[in-house]
Amino acid sequence: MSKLIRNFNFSVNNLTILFYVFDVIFISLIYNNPIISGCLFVVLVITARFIRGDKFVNFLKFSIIIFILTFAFNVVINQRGSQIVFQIPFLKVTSESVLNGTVLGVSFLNILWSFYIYDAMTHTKIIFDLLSKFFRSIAIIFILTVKFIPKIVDIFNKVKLLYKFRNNNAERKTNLVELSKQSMFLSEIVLNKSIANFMNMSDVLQTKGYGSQHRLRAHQINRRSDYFARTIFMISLIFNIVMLIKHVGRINFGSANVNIQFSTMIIATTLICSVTVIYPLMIGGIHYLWWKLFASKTTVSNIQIAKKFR
Amino acid sequence: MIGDTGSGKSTLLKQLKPELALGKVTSGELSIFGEQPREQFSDIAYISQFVDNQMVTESARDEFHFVLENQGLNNEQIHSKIAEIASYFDITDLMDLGGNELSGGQKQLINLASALILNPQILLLDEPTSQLDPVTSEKFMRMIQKINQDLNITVLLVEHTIEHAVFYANRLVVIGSGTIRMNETVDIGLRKLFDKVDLRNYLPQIDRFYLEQGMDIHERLPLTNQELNKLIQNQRSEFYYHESREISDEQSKSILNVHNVSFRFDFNERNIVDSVSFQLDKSIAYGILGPNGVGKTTLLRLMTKQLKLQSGSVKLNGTKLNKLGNDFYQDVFVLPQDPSLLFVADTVHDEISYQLEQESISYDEDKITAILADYQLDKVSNKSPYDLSGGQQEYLALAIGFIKNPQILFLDEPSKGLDPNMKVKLAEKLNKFRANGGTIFVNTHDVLFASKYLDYVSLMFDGKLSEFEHPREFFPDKYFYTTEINKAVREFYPQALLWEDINQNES
Repeated sequence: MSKLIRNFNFSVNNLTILFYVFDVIFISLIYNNPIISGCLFVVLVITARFIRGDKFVNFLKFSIIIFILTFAFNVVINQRGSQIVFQIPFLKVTSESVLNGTVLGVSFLNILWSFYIYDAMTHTKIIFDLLSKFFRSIAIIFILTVKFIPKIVDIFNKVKLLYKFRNNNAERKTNLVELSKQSMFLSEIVLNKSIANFMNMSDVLQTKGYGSQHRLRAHQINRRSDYFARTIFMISLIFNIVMLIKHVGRINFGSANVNIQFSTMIIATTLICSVTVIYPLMIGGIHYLWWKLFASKTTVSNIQIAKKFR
Repeated sequence: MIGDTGSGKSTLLKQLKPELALGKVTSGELSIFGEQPREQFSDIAYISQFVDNQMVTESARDEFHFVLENQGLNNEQIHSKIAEIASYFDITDLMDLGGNELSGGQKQLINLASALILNPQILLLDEPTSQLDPVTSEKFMRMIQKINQDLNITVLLVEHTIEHAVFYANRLVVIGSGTIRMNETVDIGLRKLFDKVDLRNYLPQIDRFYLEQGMDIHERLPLTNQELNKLIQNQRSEFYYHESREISDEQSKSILNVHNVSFRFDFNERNIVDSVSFQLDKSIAYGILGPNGVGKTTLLRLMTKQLKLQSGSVKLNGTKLNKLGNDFYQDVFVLPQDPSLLFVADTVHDEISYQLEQESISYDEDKITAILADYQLDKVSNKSPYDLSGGQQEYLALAIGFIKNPQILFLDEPSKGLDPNMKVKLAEKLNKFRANGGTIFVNTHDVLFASKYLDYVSLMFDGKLSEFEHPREFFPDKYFYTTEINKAVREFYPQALLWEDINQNES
């Protein structure tokens, strides 16, 4: 996570971060106008790069593959349109189908990248706090599911590999029935092991006082930056809902005649959505510049001990 | 509290924390703070050996919030509690790090902090250092001592290795077959351990040496390395170095070659295994030592086709692993850090019969009973393998490995969870396996085990592996990563690693 995003995280509480990710996901879900989607894609990727750099390259590769698949699938399935780009038996590629494929691909990527941001910005406790206010049991199920799904996958992968060292006939089965029998057997083993893990987690929950009669409370301290950020996100949300109702930013997807709107509203929507997505970067950037150009020069000594103390 | 593997230490410990108690008390009475046990979770804190499984949330800050919110504390109280605990444990820099950014030692420190955040009066620790390297576990034990002395918290620690713990404990309790065999002050306890032949192996090496030599100066036990050093210095003429292990320099056939292997988990990460090259010879036992997280397990997984090689090559009997196909799995056996990952059956008995069937070995009930008895598992024959203690699981997995009788046995922390007597038996079985032509590759934190039972050892750090050397050459070079005996007497006998290496002149 870059220092700009970390700075934003420090300046707001968990609820504000939830507002942000919800807004980003909502925005990426509702628009498919190529201008809005394209701009959104750029800001989402830039923001994602700053939010979580370590997995960025891998996710980028993955999203490129997804885009190609979505595009190709759409071009094959939807062969409407009159302006033929090229034609082979059983396949007619038109400029409309290319446009449709690109729009669908980019919209899909936007959703993927918004969830990448969600994954990097939130952690279990944020969602747990929110859920525990209303549904305590669901909250704990959520926290355990989030914790155990990767764990079960990990157990499955390890068991699958280690099973080969025990089973002399492993992976020699070629027929489907034998293979499915083996998978069933492995699943049973994994289930047994997962239950042992769950039992252990149940002990941990007990030791952490989960079973106590005290009321669970999520504590949030709201600062000015929280109110300001949430106001921005609320305005953006309301604006986007209005746009959704008015069908602004949506094209007649899949039709033979894709009508791309370009108006002041589109520009305004693009601008507001981009600002919303890039908001953490902007706030982090402003704080950084303030620190670099003003605060650190006037208030902070750069000698080693002062740096360490700071 | 020490005792044989599966003797009931953990069960007893959990009885002291009513929420975790299994089953019902069939006889006798348990009172805590002079009262019947009740749901009083904040007064008794419990930490298990599973370092990775004890955090519900993703960071220390969230974990502390979770615990305190469960107690219904308000914002102000939570803030002040977290501030206190973070400064006391010096973990302010770790507060927001995720699980994969923390080392094993840091995780266990956070587990300890979250257990203490509610000011318990009793702290129960179930082998808390079993998954930590020796340097980290010593730091952890020092923290336990600080808590005990600063905060006047009663600590009940279950351990198999008491090399460090004896310095911080007031009393020593020995459990055997579900009963308390001994409950004494540490000084008397250590002497009584020596008097009972079956418990001698539990003694720390320094105290074992002192008691074995029958030194006439009466020192209070446990002895520090410095105290032993002074004793030897004063009576130096009475002792001489004697190599207790026979070393064979016989050259044997190379069986596995690792050439220039590098590996990293992510694009932007440094190599967790970095240009590692070595070869394993037939009938030799090799060991890799090193702190947590330096790449030991990753290297083992690369050598056993559990991870795909990114660069370099691994050859078994001159053939690259990828060309061997499934035959590779017949020639090797892997004991992972978590032995339960190997289990496939519903009972211990069925695990053994399953493996015998796989190896096409004809068997009857007597044969299975004999195998189970050999591994001290006969009494738990009908239990689920997941219900066994950590040490018993380790032994069951080893039994499976020995039934398979592969060319190479890869063991990841095999001595973890084993009591000292079981370690001796494990060593005997490894020696037998090696004598029959088997090769052994071990990842371990157990310096004593490595120095006593392995032929060649190496140290891994930052993905790099040092040369494999015989323990007698390897350990004297090391300042921290060596046995306590070596630390104590290296000034006089640089190659002495075990208490058996120093003998008394008969005159």
